[in-house]
Amino acid sequence: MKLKKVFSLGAVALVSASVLAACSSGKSNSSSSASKQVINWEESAEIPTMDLSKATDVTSFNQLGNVEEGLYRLGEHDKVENALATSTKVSKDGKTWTFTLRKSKWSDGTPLTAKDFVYSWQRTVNPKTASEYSYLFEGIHNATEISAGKAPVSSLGIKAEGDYKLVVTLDKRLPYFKLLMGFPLFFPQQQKAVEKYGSKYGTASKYMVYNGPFVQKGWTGSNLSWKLVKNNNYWDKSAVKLKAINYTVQKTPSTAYNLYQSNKLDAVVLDSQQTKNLKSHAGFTLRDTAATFYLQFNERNKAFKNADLRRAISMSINRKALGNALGGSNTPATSLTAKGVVNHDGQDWADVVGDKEFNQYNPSEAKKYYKKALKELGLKSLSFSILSDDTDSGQKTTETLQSQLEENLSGLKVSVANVPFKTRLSRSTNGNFDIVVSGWSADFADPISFVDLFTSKNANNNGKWANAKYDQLIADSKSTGDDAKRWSDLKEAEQILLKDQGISPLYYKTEAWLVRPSIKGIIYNGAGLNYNFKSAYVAK
Amino acid sequence: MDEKELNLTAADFEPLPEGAAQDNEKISGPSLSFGQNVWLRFKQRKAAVISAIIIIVMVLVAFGSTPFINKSTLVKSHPQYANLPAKVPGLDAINGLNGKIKQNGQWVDAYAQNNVPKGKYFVAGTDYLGRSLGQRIIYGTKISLIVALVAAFFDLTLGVFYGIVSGWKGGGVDNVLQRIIEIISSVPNLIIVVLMLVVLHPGITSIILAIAISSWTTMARQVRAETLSLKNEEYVLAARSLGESGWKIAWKHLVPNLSSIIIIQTMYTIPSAIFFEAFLSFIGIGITAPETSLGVLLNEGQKNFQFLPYQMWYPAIVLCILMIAFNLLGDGLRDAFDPRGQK
Amino acid sequence: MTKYLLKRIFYMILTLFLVATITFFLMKFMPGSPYANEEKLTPQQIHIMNEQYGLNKPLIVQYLLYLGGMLHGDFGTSFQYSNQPVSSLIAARLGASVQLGLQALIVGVILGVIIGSIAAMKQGTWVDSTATVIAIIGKSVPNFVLAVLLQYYIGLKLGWFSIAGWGEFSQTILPTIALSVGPLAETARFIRTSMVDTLSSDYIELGRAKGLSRMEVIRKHAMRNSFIPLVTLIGPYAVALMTGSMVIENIFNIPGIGEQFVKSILTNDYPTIMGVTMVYCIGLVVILLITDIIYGLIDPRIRLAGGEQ
Repeated sequence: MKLKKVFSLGAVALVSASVLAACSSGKSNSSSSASKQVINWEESAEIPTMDLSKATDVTSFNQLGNVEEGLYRLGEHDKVENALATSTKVSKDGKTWTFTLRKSKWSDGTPLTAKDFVYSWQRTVNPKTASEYSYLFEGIHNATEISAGKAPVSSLGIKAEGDYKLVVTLDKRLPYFKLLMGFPLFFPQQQKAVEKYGSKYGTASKYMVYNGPFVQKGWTGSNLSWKLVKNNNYWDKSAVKLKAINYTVQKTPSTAYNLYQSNKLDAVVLDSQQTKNLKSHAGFTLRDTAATFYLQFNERNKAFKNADLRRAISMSINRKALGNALGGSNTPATSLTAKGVVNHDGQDWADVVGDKEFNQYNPSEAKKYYKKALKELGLKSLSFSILSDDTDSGQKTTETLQSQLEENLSGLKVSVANVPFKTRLSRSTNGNFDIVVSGWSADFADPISFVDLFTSKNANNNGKWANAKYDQLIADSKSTGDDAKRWSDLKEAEQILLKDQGISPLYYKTEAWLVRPSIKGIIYNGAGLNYNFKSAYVAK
Repeated sequence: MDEKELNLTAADFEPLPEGAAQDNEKISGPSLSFGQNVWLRFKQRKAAVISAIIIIVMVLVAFGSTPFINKSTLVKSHPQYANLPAKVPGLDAINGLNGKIKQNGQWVDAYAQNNVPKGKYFVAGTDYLGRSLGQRIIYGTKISLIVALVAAFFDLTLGVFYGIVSGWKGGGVDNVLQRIIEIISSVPNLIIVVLMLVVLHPGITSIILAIAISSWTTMARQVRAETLSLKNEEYVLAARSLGESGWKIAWKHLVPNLSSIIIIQTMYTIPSAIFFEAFLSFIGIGITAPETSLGVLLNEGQKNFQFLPYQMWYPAIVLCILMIAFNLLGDGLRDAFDPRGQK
Repeated sequence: MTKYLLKRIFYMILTLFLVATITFFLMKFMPGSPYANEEKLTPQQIHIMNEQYGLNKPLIVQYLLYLGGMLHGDFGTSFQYSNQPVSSLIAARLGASVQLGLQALIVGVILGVIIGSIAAMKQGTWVDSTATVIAIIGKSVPNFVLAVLLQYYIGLKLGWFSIAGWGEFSQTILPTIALSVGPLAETARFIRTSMVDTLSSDYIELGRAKGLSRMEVIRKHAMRNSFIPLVTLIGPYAVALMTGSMVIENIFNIPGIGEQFVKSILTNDYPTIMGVTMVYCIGLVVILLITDIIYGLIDPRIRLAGGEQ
């Protein structure tokens, strides 16, 4: 008797569920109206810090880039535009840069001078600050020595001549120096504020001073929502059209998309299935993140010293299927330098250097190389583990690779290990892996940001792949004064790396977003500062 | 009434038939043992019986599938069949079971869209790598059942033993044992699992160990509390004064009287173990690929719920049936063991 | 009573001390460092950072410093948020979790009591079966699945309540429902069983024999005696809500401590992991103590002295 009741009730529940499903809500008015000029943006993680000397992550830099201002601001396609600098003079050897600054103010009304730049840079390279990004100062006179504690902080190659002139001396030519100056790490900091707030500096909105298009309000240190409000002390405030940007941290893609649909959010990052289904949706936007994901083989393990084995593995990977499994907006990679980062002579650098032979899915060739490799190694079968992050895409990557490799290379046993991000980094650094899925996102739009990683001494070369010719080419590219030779060196180097499969590129990471179509004027760059909201506005 | 008028003689009395006196004392029904009693009462509970059958069938299917569905089946991907909805032969008229899925408010034949050959059917659809969801659900059920059974095993052995010892011995022993329980249950299970993942290889072993470490404490507590009150009952005191050994008392008197509590608690542990495994998968530290569990499948499915609802509904339905069956079976067993609660 | 309390508090402190010790040393075995770009740091910088975090001292000194700090409510500095003391992180996040947990507990227990009591009074009827089914389904659906369904159907499709976020009351409704289903189901089952037991006991029969009406007997005797054991369930509920909140807070974007805990595990933020673990333990131990005291107060049959004779 009881059971019959159970079944009939179940039927009621099902009917009511389908009734619920059939209902749909009426469209409410969008929160982002042209008259209000307010937008609601998503951030995927909390802000760890607003202290630009200590920031290491995308979220912090995106915030800093919009609430602070440096010498330059990056425009469309990494175009460098004057910001606080009104004119720039470069010496003939490219080692001395003289910037003339405009008169501008901090958000507390005090004037901003060249000394604020000097203070900020010295603070970042000071080993006491322990800035994890201070390596980007490499090339600026004495920066590396200061970080290593071998030279006094005051010997850094930056001097203020009067209040509005700044002179920077470099140890060598840095072809990408202008791009660096658009990155928040090189923005000024107000000594008075840093000293006043002490250890609290940059830990909440109120312990900060701003000089950018916006000021931040309501961030308490670890909360999930805050806002950027137009800065009335900004030198170019007439160009800023948005009154406010409301930020919320979204950790679940389905929640974020629900909020977008109910007009509570104006921009959301899409996960794999959302990407597939919303491709034709108005507002669907692809963003090249200037990041490449690739496999590193641990050459401390004898088997992975064998280039043929590395090639066999690379050619067993169906990168298109992998991209589809991950979401369809990621493109199969044939090079280390990410697509859409460097445009040289009208061509995408990724296409110029890309290797179509060993980074292409080719199971029959893969089998041949695999046999050859096993013979050379004197092995009958092989087993190894693939290490990656424990994120959704990390798990999907290892699962797909495991499946593809075991299917194409007989006698191969692949296990997977998905661990938290920092654990993955630490295991990579300590060489505690067989194959690791790594990703690298360019700090600035130049191939050197990528190829520098795999010189034999570089700390990011976790697999310890080493090639003397490669090292030589990279060193040459850094010292030469000839631009054409630099580019040809960089090209040859990357081609050597790819032919030898020192790493196997998997995919270029492209994010799919839904952005409310009425929002215009956002500037996005994959490398360096991602989002620039200075010129953004809500259209009628 | 005049007494004299009533003249009773011996002839007025008739002897009773032979043996009648004994019959009065006899119990008319057949004598039943405790186990037979339980079984009789259990049989009357239709819902519990059906639940037991469902669980047995699920266990048979899940474990019997091992030769057909194992790691090497799970590891094979078919990208060309990715994310197909269910298609059951002969159900062409029912949307949702005929290979069609709702896209932008319209039913679209996903099989035709992906150029899947005509004769290909996936009765529960496929996942993002084109693997049969049906197979994965069966395998996932097996893993979830293993996790549940291991938890139940530790409950029944360690938990019961610990509880009886603690309650029976009392005093200092009890005090120490209770403090240990307090400490174990004050550390969130999650911490224990994360550490297991570091020490051991991530996967089912560490999850089982974490459950083993933390699951039995509630059982031990309940058994202890009940033992404390039971040990002052007359029949236990009687047994004690007759000089029965502690072990014999525990086995003969305590365990049967504790049985209802033990069964209720076990039936509580099994779903919570399955839940705990699902929870770990949700935060991303559960079973590793290519193995899967109902928790992994549910987590995978809830992400795509808006677009591929079947990927969440099917594992959810299986999980619910499993849970409901365990709960109803638990209720039935409780009533069968403990007739006091019945009317 | 005082003696008993003192003894309990002593054991509480002992428990907390042991938990702190175990977590501290276990965390030291976890791989990974707090630094995001370790390979890019100069040895000098790593040295200075280790000094700042106190990681250069011998383990035993680190341990003693940690215990000492904890007595002042200082759990160290977060690795994840630079310069943020763990105690202020926890303080900023605890409120939301406690509010959500209490709301879920209250809603769950009240509804559970109502459903359970009705089921017991109407034992064997369709009302009873319905209540049983609700309780079983409540126990059978993982709360993260329920949360996704609630958010999609009620939040988005029907538009009745806010989909996610924190700050307004309407934003707490869906997560509260999702979290309360567990306690609701458990309470309903518990109350039903307990009421059925009580209703068939001798003193209820006596009350009926005295001529009291059925409702009066239930109100005066059955309710009180069936509800008392409920207090013992509050401890397990607290644990369930703590675990549940980690998932629910994630789905509904709630700045709570559970969400923080998961994040700190995924980023190897040891000081935060230890801090939050301690807060969970303190919470749990205090809740258990309070429930024991309440239990002793409302049920004179239970002596606080516990198992002693």
